[in-house]
Amino acid sequence: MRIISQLMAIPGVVAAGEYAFRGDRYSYEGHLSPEAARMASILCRANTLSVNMQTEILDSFAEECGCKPAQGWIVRGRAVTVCVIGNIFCFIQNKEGLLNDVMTVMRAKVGDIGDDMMMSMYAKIGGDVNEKLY
Amino acid sequence: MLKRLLVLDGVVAVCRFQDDGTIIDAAGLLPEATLLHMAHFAQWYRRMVSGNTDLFSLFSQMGGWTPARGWVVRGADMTVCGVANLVCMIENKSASINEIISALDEAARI
Amino acid sequence: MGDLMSLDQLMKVPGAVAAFQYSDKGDLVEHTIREGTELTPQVLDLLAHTCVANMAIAAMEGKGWEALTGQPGFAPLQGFSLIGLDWSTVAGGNHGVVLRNRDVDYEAAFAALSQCNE
Repeated sequence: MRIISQLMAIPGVVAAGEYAFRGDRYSYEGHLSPEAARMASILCRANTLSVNMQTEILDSFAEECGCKPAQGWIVRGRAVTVCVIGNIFCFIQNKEGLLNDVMTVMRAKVGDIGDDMMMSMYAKIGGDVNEKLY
Repeated sequence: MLKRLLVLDGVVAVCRFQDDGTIIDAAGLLPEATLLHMAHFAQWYRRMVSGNTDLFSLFSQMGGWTPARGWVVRGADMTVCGVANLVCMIENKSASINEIISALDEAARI
Repeated sequence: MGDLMSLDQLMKVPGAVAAFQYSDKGDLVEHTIREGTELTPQVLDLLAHTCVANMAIAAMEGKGWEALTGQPGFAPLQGFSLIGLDWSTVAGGNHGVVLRNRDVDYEAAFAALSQCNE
């Protein structure tokens, strides 16, 4: 079963999707408007870039510290949490037990993210990205 | 080309890097290992700043921010600045950031 | 909750190998590291700064999202987690905990952190 459908089948999952590491492609299911989903994909790319940068820097100061390569991140809001593994994102309600379940599914289905992911992220930046974001 | 930047007051080192962080060209009085570190940092900062600028542009609905063109990290005595795939280390006491950013801008277009 | 008590509570979270408290700017204030773990106070200090940076961005994103979409529930920020290959760091307020991925419990970590910050 496709991971997004599998995530959406879990009660409490608001939306789940896939964002492209490069460019603006994305797909999703759930309670997000197309514009919100587009914003979410931009958000995911930015945070994933940041987190990868941070683990690279941490690793350069403390080799084999076990953080590299970065697998994902979680933002815990007041009532909604956003979790990302690789290029899969998921918006969930802060229901007891749900975050752990969702993270287990995501880590199992996505698998370990390798070192080469960063090569395809933002490969054309610094003047090559012309699209207006809003 | 980078030697033109090196003659500017306060410039310690400058380098042009590839997307994988490896150095295409470098000039200045830093050991190779340090230059490589600087190039890696610059690549990371470039991506991070681009990402955060995209977010800011999105949420502020304000034009003029993207695409991000560069960044500056100002330390107590030293500053590192990046434009596109160029990065420059400078000594604060003798360098003019304005002049260096302009020069980096010009060099980045080549 | 007292500082050392907070760290003790965080160390009880399944998978916890280190717990730390940091200033608003990210400087390490207190820490505890499980024996046999390769983490050092220096690495925890770097991690603390990373947590502060990530939480600042995440707080901005939450506010921006709510303002733009009208969708509530994101702000105020409760915490942020950076998931590495073997380790995850979960941070909230001025506390953080490092967890081993193979037995990680994110919910327990966020719950423990919210108690620290009461």
